[in-house]
Amino acid sequence: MNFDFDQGLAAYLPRLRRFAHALSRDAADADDLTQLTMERALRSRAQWQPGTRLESWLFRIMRNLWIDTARVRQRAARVEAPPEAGLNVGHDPTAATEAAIDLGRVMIAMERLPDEQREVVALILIEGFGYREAAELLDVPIGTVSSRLLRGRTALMKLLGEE
Amino acid sequence: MTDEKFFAWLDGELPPAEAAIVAAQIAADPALAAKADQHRAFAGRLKAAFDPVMTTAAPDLPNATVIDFDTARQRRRAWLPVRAQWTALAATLAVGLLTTSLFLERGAQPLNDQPVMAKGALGAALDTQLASAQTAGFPVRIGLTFRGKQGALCRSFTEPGSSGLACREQGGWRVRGLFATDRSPDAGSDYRMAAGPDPRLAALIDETITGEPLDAGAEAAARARRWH
Repeated sequence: MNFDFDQGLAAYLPRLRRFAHALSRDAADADDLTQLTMERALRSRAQWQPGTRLESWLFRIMRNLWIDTARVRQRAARVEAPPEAGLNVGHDPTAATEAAIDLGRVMIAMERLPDEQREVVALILIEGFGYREAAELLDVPIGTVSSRLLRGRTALMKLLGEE
Repeated sequence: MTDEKFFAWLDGELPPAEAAIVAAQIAADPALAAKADQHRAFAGRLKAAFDPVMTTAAPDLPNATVIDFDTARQRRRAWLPVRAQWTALAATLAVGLLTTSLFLERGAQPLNDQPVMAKGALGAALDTQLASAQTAGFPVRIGLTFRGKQGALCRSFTEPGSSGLACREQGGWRVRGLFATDRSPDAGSDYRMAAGPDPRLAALIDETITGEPLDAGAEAAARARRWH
């Protein structure tokens, strides 16, 4: 019965889309990544073991698809000028500590993090996975997750002018 | 205290006993306490920045196109300009539906012939709602109820963003066609009005129907028979 699978897929779609935005350079790329992930998940639905966590399975699919496109993205980044507009680099004493951060600015800043830091920041700080879950999802030791997260969150704070 | 330990504590990753010790150390050190506040606030705002993604639908494309799986399968066209408002659709329909539209758009193989069944609010509306007694404020509105050529009862429906036709199959409602509503600015904000009689839906009903649509009495009787 695919009832749980379908329902789970629908339930996780908004979060997958958020994860895609955290990984991607812009909203169009994020929606493409979301589509690809949904396609892949449906095509591979037989490989999902009922009773295992659909959530991790789906996030892993998205993350792997994103990694697969890394080379393409890097090539594009060399050709296109980096999107700097609106990015607050360095310390700005007037940066409002209480103000909301604009999503566009966050995406630009996230884009500047190395991939391995960006995915850890996205999984733990934005998606709320624990260190161990993230480590399993990414197939790396938990110590690696914690040091990448440390570097990523510190760099991101600087990029957003909050330090 | 190492940074790793500080952040593990901040992220709730330390075992309780160790967390208590670290918490005491941080509370006793104004610089560390300030750093904890700063990072906690930053993490909150970082996550909040993504809230719009969670609360808004994926961007609409101006041209809505029929999502008629049977026809699509027959044609086996390599590419169809189909893109429904998939986030909105996900709320009411089985995911198979929305991802089928994604398959069609991307030119990949359409899903196999598994039926796409109405679930959630749509499924409930098809099961219980009578066209003659629409519930005000309920998102799904039932149009016609009629007997299809294959003998099963079918019902047309309108919901925000789409209208379609579902027929009784295997104890549920199989969606036979779904048409995204034109949401161009001049279509107005009232979906029920904007949806109107979609010509594509009308054509699908024409193809499917045998005899006359059920009147209010027959519709209520059909519901009492659980749509057999």
